[in-house]
Amino acid sequence: MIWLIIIGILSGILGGMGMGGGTILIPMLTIVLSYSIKNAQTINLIAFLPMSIFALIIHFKNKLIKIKQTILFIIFGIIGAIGGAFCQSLLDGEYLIKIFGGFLILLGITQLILVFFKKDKHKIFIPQRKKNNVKNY
Amino acid sequence: MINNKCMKKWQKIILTIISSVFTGFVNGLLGGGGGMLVVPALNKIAGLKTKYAHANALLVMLPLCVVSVVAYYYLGSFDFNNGYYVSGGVILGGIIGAILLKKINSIWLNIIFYLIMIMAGIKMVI
Repeated sequence: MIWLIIIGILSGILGGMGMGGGTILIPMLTIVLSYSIKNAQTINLIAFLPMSIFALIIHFKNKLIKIKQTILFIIFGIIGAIGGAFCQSLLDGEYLIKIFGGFLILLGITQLILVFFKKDKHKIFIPQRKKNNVKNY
Repeated sequence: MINNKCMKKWQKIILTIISSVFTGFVNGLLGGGGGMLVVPALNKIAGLKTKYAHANALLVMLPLCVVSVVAYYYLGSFDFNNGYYVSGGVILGGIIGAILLKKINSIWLNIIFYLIMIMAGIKMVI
């Protein structure tokens, strides 16, 4: 039980920082605690609902939400989600784990490449000093 | 890569449809991870700045997650065993993460996070 809460807190921290907490919650539940992947998937989808509702309310108040630009993403995303869930129910857990692993590897490598090839890399690596310099001049 | 201002309207709509169906499909199949796909899509295709893309990604992902869970329930792969403890932890961690977000220089954290992701992926494939 303690481990469940600790894993939840860790992925919640990553989720709250906007780094995709869900992509780390599922592997932790399946690898560390050897839960079935379908159990981990359901937990992940539900566990992040309250947090995202809370964050959305804050974003609404800060006027960051642009419904006009996102409505198409929502409508067609829902169609894709139904198809994805249908495939998920057809596939066995062992295949789902392998697909998930492949997805993680691909995503991790592309993100790493993006980090290293960013044009303003120096700004990211020493943000404090740069900002101060700009302000001083 | 793709310049938002040069894109014609129909190209934009087609790209939107493709990327959103793909995001939804991945999120439904894998039970997560759609957020990491929809942020760049909102950024490049809808032309939202990074800050806005992150906020609006939540708006897209919320209905997708709800639909996925409901579909799991009706297709018989819904399994919320032990979920309450994890959910409680996620809520607590989310608050901590939101506070930490402003204080930590995240580039090294990002690199470590992606390396862990790749290692976890390898473990799952093998």
